[in-house]
Amino acid sequence: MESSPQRKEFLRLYDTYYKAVYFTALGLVHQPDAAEDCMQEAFLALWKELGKGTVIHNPGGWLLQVARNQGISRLRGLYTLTPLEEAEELSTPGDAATREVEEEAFIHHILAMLPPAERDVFVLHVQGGLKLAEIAKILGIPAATARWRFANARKKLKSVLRLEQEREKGTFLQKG
Amino acid sequence: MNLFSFNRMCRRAARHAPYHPEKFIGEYRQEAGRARPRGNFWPRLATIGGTALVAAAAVAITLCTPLFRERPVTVVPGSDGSLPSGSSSVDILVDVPEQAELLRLEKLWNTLYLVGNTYSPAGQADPQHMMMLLHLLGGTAFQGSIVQGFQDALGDLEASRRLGLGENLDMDGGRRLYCKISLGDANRIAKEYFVGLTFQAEDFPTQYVSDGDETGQWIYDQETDSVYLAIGAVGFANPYNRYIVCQRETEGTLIHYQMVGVYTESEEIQGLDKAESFGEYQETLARLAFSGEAVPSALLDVTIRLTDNGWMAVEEAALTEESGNGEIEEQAMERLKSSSLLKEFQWIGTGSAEKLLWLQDVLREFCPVQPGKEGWSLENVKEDPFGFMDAYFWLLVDLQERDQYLFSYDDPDYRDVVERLSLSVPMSEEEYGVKETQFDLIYRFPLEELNTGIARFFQGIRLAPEDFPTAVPEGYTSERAFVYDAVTGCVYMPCAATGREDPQPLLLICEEEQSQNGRLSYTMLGIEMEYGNEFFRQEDEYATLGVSSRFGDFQQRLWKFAQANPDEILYSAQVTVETSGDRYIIVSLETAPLNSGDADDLQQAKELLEASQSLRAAYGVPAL
Repeated sequence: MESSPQRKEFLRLYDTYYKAVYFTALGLVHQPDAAEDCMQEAFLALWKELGKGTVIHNPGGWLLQVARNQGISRLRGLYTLTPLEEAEELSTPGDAATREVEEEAFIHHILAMLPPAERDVFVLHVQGGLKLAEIAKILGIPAATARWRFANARKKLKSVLRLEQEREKGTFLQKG
Repeated sequence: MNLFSFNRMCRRAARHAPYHPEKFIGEYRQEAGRARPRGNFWPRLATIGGTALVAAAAVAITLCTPLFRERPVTVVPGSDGSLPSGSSSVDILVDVPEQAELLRLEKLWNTLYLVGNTYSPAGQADPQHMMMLLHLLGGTAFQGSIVQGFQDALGDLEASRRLGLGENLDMDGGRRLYCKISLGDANRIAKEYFVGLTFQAEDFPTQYVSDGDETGQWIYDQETDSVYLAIGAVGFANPYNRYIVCQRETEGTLIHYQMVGVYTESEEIQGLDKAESFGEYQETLARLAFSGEAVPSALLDVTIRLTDNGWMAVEEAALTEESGNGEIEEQAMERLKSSSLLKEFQWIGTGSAEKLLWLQDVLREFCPVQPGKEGWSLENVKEDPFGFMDAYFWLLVDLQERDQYLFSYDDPDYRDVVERLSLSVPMSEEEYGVKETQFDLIYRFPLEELNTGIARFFQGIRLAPEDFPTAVPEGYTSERAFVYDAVTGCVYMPCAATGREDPQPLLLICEEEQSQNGRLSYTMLGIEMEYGNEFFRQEDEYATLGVSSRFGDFQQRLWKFAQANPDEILYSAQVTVETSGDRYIIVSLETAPLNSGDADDLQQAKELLEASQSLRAAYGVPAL
């Protein structure tokens, strides 16, 4: 389908969902390379389906589910993963990649404290760049619920971050 | 770290999400395949099938071979050079010489994308022309003045450094200088094709700062007195085969413009000619949809932003109105500095009228004035529909604050009106069973009452039914729209079901200040009214989405002034006009040291804090 409408549709879906798919996978497998693999597998599956002329009514949800399935397969031991926290050690201290890895690990650490349902909405919205209404559609929940979950996630994150900050301060004082 | 910073971190991380759609397809088309940079996906993908490795190589070689570009060209679908009209994809021939390039743009312009807006060299003031011209310049510069193409290893590295691109010239994520054209040459071309249009050095930024996904950014280099086109190395990086065009759709009385990227999809060599098929892709950072007369000024904004430092974030919030992701802060926090001019502003008015006068002054001073127009003023609001619509929107919100005009889902007439106005808001029987909403909220304003309200704010302005469209076309993506319904005599304002559904601007207050590593920052709290009239607070980057796009302009102007004053330490500034109630004007500031010494930093931070406190006191916002 090199120049077909399906190809155009594929590109459109890729542009729309690649972040959402990637970060959904990352939330499962906790390792960027593996998450990228999951993402690519999901889009590969989409490519195949579109090539066959399959009509996917909720492509966002479909892609996320495929990515999740891929992530679960990896978690079952089909692949060897390097967790984010350990991946940090693979980088050269002080370089930009290290900082990125550290940040990703921190994000993962913080988001892990959210209930899964709220975390999903937060990740899809903030990192995936999707609108809440679209997220609602993807997840099959009412739009109001998506908004409510997002607001709740924010409230909880605020508390979590404050606690984290206090903890860091405490550690610093102890060292001092 | 607070939530605001955490959000920023999340979005920063989001930028690192792998993005290789074109590579995906390219690889798919290659039977042999290439090794994937990492992981095991691409080899697997390559085994699936595909064909055009040789063709892809030919495309790449062709695009980078100046000799080929100088060959004569014959138009393919017709000897007259006509193009298929109304198609969503274009088949045109690529021509390389300057004149032919212009003709091609003209054809593209006249035939496909701007039906009814005939290209005219005298239309130099039209921002769309300017936009096209910039691409023309890119194509022109490509012929003889390539600084660095894909095949080059380094190119003008010194210029890259000077212009802020550093040495990040890798294929997978960097940006590189692509074209170089002297300012004199640029103006020579401009003079030839666009009557009276002159580029000045000040029209361009002098440093590349944005890391968005924009098509390209023109940067002026004082040392060489040239403008360079810096583009991303990812995706459709060749400026020669990548254009932004304005796609126009008309439905009813509403004109819908959308910025669409066009890229080379396939090429076919026929003797000395080359037929090139174009596909479209979504130019996500330059998407806009405005109705009617608002378009020119909006396009001007886009044009400026495409060629200006750091406009992308503001553009995204202002024009796509879909960001919802706080890109404004993210960009601003990184780059915003201060100027003495900022402190000289009279932020505080005493009443609505005075504030609007102040707004007028600000708009006049800082916002781009449309050619031939005097600029925004209270007397000529219709001269600047875009600015007027902003003010108008505030007015509507002001009226809505009285709880009179929300068109509730429970309203028995809801379905009828929704269907009549093509609002596409099907409601289900169940409480939360909304299956699909193009617009999430609808506000209703009886036209007469609206005019009464307008009269309070705008001299001599009275809106008539014909000032409004009567339906919202399918696919309308703007955050809000105005529609008139003759049956009820009301104006309806549906608001898109985005992450920021509620059209009410947020009331921003400064909840707390934080000092960390010599940086003083304020956490802004937005207060918005949730459904059911319950107020809830959220510290939120959405807050600036309550800022009108004109204030996005304003913000950007501050930014530019800041760049001219590198010794200032103000790190970020946001100005928000809260239109509900007494119309707050809130300034959010963040300072950071710029090697000017802690004492000075603290003094300035203190001054800023005092200014903030004064502002709060003036509007009855509790002090910190």
